[in-house]
Amino acid sequence: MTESLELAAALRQETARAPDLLVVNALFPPPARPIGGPVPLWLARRRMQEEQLARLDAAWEGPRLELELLPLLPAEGLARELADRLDRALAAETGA
Amino acid sequence: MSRATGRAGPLPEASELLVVVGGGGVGKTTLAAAIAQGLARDGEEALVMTFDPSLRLKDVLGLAEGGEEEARVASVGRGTLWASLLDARRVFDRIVDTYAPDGDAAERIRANPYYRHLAGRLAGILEYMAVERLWEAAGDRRWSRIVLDTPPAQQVLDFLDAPRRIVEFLDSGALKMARMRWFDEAGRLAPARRLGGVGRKLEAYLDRVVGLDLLRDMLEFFHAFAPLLEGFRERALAVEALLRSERVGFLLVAPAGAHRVGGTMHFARALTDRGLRLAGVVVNRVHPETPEPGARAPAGEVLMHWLAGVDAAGLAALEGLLPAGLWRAALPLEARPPTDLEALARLSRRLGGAWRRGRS
Repeated sequence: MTESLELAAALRQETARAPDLLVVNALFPPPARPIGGPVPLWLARRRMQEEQLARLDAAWEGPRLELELLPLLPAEGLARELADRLDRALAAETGA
Repeated sequence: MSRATGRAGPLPEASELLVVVGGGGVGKTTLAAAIAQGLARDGEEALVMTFDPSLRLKDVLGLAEGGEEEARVASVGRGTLWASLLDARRVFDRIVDTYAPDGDAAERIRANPYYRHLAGRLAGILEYMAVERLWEAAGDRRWSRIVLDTPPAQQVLDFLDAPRRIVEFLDSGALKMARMRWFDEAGRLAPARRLGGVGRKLEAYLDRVVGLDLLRDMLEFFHAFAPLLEGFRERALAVEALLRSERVGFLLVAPAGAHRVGGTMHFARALTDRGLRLAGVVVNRVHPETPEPGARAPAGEVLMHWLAGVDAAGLAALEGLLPAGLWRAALPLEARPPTDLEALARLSRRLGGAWRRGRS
């Protein structure tokens, strides 16, 4: 997260423009219902990611999309699936 | 390779300088700090040198921009953990001060606008200054062990090639040309003056395209810097020999996952092709095995099970590709990265201890 924010700041400084969109990729999915008992590893990672998203809320005011980590390898159509999800998320964001 | 149980065999017998390499975001800096912590615990004066640690690790190690060049982090067991944040500009300034013929010459170089630009930003300088810094530290008897964290993959190959590139540059015709007398006392381009009106046009054209002030600063810099060049050449050759010596081992930190195996092997070969000694491979952040999720399992659990399968396939593939006898370990993905020295110590223990051979 720190690197992304530094990169956005560097872009602003070097090119006098901010990124048009910030995509947060490969997030663990949030739990659909409360999880009892010991916190499983995936949920601990999700919570850590949420802390970083909260940092982002404070530091980035521009447009932002979030994409979940997908159970697909690059050779299994990952790029295509990501592109579809990105299109859908953009359409939802812009109301198109 | 041991599966992601958090246990690995003891680290191999190793050399006094350990260079930790790998792609971006694989956890090199954290592992470098953990290894240095383990070395200190075993009674070494251990220095971890880093390029660009995360804010979190800077806090853990007590590093600050512009702070002390080597910070004493803590007494650990029988030894001490030290940390250093690379400041390319500071290293370059010190080289100039140390090797310039006198104080005036050093001042002339440091005041040159081209130097001020070069020292901080020119591509390759950061890598070369890291090499110079390693050379300095390797000759400093305060530390019995040094662990060097490096920049990400392509940059680290630049780093490893930096000594050779600097020698090639110093031996090049371009540098000889740069050291010729191009400007007269009045600051005019000398060859252009001899061409009369055409020369004046040429000078104006060059001024417009590259800026004669920049050119003048650059050439003045190379003139002022000339007495230091031979020293650079000698050190670059010495560093190159050091990196290929038995004193230095390279630890490759690799990401988990079957789709990352090709990149890991490419990197391992890039090291050995350069005559560098690969001391071991750590596959980091391996997703631990989980039971087959049920039909109503949360999406996160299903995903974690899939990731564990991909990582297991990657470990199996690597096992068949890495040279037999090469030290290797797999470390599990943790719920959180280390946020204090105790967490670093736990990570170090998981790695199985420290590099043990005494410094010669």
